[in-house]
Amino acid sequence: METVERYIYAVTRRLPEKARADVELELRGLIEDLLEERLQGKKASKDDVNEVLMELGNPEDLAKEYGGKPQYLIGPRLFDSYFKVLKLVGSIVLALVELVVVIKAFMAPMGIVAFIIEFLGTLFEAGIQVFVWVTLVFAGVEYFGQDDLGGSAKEWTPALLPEIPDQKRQIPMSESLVGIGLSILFLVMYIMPQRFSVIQVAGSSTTVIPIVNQEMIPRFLPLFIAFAGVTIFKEVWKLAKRVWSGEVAVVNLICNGIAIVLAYLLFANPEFWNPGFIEQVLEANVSSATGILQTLWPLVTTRFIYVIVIAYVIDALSALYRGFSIHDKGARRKLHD
Amino acid sequence: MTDEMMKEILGGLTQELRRGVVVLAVLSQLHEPQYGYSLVSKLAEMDFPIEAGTLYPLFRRLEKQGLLESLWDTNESRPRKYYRLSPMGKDVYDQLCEEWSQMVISIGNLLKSEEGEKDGNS
Repeated sequence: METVERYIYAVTRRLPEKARADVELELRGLIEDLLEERLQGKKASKDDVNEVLMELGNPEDLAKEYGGKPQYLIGPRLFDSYFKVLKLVGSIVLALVELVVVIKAFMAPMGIVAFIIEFLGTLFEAGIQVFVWVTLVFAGVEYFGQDDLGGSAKEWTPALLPEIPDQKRQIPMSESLVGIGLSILFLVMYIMPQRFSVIQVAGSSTTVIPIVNQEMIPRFLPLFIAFAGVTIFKEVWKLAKRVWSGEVAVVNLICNGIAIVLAYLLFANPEFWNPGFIEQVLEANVSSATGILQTLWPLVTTRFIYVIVIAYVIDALSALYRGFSIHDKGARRKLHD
Repeated sequence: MTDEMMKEILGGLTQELRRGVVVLAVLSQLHEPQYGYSLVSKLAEMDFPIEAGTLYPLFRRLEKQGLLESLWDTNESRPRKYYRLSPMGKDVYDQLCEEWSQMVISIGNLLKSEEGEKDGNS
């Protein structure tokens, strides 16, 4: 009878705790009944037991009939969202880590082979990380989540229908990726000024003249991270939304407003820039460029903030225009149709 | 299309049809308490065989929904769990029967009209 016990165990272990004892008793009774009918009082042989169990079928299927725990990691209810999030997160993260690889390669030039190895290695590693974490999160939601979780459980109305993507309203992915890339590039430049924002003077020795005030970096860094962060957040938001709408335009506007304030606190503060820049240039004696640098420097340090502000204002306005007016046009065109 | 494929499709469709009425068949026999195996034999006798592996889980599901009541009988040589219709189960069964009769009539009409057309065309 050991096989019978093993069969019962194979079924019940897949069931919720509280149903096990009951099902176990019931199943044992059933198997004994089946055996009894087959034997009519004779003693059960191993073959008889096997045949009866074969009749009952695969314990896995039986457990499924009993409504045991789902035998999948991510069910059909969540799979759609899972796949969408995986694609979105995957494309953003992979684009970003590869950008860092490229920036690193620029800062510390390496051979092409080493670069390719690093590029592919990073792609592989980051890809696995994204896959594992997104999958884990969704598996968790599947396992612990309530039945009413997930989009399909919501009451459906025609208002929930996604809009047919309009070429004009679509936010190009490249736009967001470039935005994110530039933010990270800025941040890396600021954290490593000796590597990046330098003027290297050729000759027997190389002089490094940082543009920013290196002593003040620790003080300005939190602001700078917030400045890059708000931009990255905005671009990720746009990536997630895919199309321009009033909502996206307003979020864009708020983010740009915050970015302008942060930019003002950073770039309009004279302490942000290297105070000894001109002297260092003169000292290094860059014969050909000294004159240009002397005229450019005050312009850069005082006007850079204007460039930033204008760029963000234009971006906000064009977003508002695309978010609201094209929306109306689209609606009107639909009416004409 | 080979014969085998056709048989397979037909088998699948028949099974789906049966699956829809299994609940009705089971409920119909539970005015008196039955335990799983006794009902398996009974249904087999009445030419509506159903596998024990299907029936036992179905009992539990119907009990959870409140259509069946259960009772352990420990007097006999081996303990058996008896099921019978709950008051709500009786109501549901009666209404389900009406739905079924209605469906039989509608489907019957549909099949008949199809026959008639065939006859008319030929």
